[in-house]
Amino acid sequence: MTAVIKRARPSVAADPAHWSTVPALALLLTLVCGVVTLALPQYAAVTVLALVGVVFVVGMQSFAGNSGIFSFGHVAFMAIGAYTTAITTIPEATKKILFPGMPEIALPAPLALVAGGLLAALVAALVGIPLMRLNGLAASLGTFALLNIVYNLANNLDAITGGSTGVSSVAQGLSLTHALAWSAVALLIVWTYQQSGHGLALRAAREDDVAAQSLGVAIARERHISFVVSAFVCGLSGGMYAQASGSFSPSSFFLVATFGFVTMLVVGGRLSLTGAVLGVLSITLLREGLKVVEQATQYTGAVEIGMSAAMLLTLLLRPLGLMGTAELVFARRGESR
Amino acid sequence: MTEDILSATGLVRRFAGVTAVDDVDLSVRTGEILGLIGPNGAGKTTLVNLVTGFDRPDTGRVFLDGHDITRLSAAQRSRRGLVRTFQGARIFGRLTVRENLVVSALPRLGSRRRAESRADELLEYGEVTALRMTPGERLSAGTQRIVGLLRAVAAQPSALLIDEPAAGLNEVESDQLSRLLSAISENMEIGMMIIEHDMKVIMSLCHRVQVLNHGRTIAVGSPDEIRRDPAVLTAYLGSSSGNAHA
Repeated sequence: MTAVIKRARPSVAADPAHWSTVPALALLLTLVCGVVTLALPQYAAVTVLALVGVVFVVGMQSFAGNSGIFSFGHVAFMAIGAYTTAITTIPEATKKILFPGMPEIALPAPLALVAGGLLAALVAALVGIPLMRLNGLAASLGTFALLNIVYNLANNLDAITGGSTGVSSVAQGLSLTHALAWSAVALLIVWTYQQSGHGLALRAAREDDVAAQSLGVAIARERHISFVVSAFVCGLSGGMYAQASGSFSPSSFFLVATFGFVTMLVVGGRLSLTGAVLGVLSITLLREGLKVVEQATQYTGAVEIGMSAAMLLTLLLRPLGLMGTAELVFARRGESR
Repeated sequence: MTEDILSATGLVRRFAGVTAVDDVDLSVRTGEILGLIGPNGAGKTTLVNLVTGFDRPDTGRVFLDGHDITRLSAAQRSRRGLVRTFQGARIFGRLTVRENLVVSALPRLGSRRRAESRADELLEYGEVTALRMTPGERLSAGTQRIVGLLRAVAAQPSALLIDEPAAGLNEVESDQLSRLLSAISENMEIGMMIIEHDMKVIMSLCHRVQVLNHGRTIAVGSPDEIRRDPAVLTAYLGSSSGNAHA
């Protein structure tokens, strides 16, 4: 058994919906993170944050990839997850002094993450009612408006969110193992959705909305389901971010984050789960490399320009990203052809 | 006389001064193939759009199995058993052939597994099992048309509207498609309506033919009757264009 990249080719006898994509990706992440942690211990924090990115981008891919609608608003769901986790896990004594207005709810860490995911899913269920009736660019811009609304709420609901200065003293500690485990959970959720009848119907609508309607696909409803699932996963990633970083502010979940994640998905390949994972890994690598360059040359801005160039080059040279529609799977030699 | 599975009465559709469909009735019985013909611009595709819910009539009503479906969306009509195909096949390009059929079978069958086994049956029926894992975009135009037809059948329709199945196909492909169409009509409980320019296809497949011209029905009858109808000859073949299609 070797891991191979499988492309859908004519008269390929293998199933593109292969069971092994999730285990293969989980193994890939474990190997990459293991090697980086052992070889470059100073990058341990970066590695954990990259896994937060994996959960987020995989969540965003489940909507953008299956529906064909790019979202500029999913970082709002990350914010909801992060604030939920912060509010429910900041120790009570700290909360009384620093954030007296916060609701007095306390949850154990894993439950706090799930609560953040559920709250994000609930928000998606509500805003999705009008939003998912829009098509194409209008829907994308609608998600962008959502991002701005959540950003401004976080900035101005001082009592609950700590306002523009943000939140600190979140019970810290997202171990690499936990981050890997959550990544596997996210991959499994998204893959299961993708392989369900709902995921398939939505991909059909992505390919040809008229034909999909003619076969009874209720497009707005299918988009809505996908939106809720992806919001849940992105909410989880927000909780992970809160735990990993310990402190954050509304601007942590705004334009810079959105651009970074969108770049990852575009570069990796929005139609592929493997693409989402590889996008995070490759852009993280690029970003960290350019940071070294920035420090050495005192030239600030190299990171942003480099990432923008990566996005531009991808759009020009390989519009469907590194992966296209291919997925990583385990296959016996020869099975992939 | 058996009940019509699909019927429409008094359909009218106007576009900015042009009446594309002008007071048209139609009826299709289970097991029957109705041919819909007429010169370019006669209103055939508009009529199909009205019947299938991709466009709404200004007046008139559409019935499926006795129920008024005039106000239902295209997707709702499809889930009730009224399915169409398209001139360009409109295959889902980045889905496999099998997935194309599974999408269609799912709303009726509910479970993914049952939809998949239905899809596999139909792929075998259409003799395209070898292509089941091929992405739709890699198929030839003729094969796309066949897959499009099988995909429509996978939805288990009680009425099926087929828009120009043979357009752009070569003779071999066109014959293959005609055989599949007549096999489907004989083996499944479906009422079919076929729009087609190729008179050979229409005359060999259809039990009844309805002729439109300038949005109006000018004749309905058996293929033989239609072939001899003077109004049809004038409208359809013109006085000088000869007999190219007949």
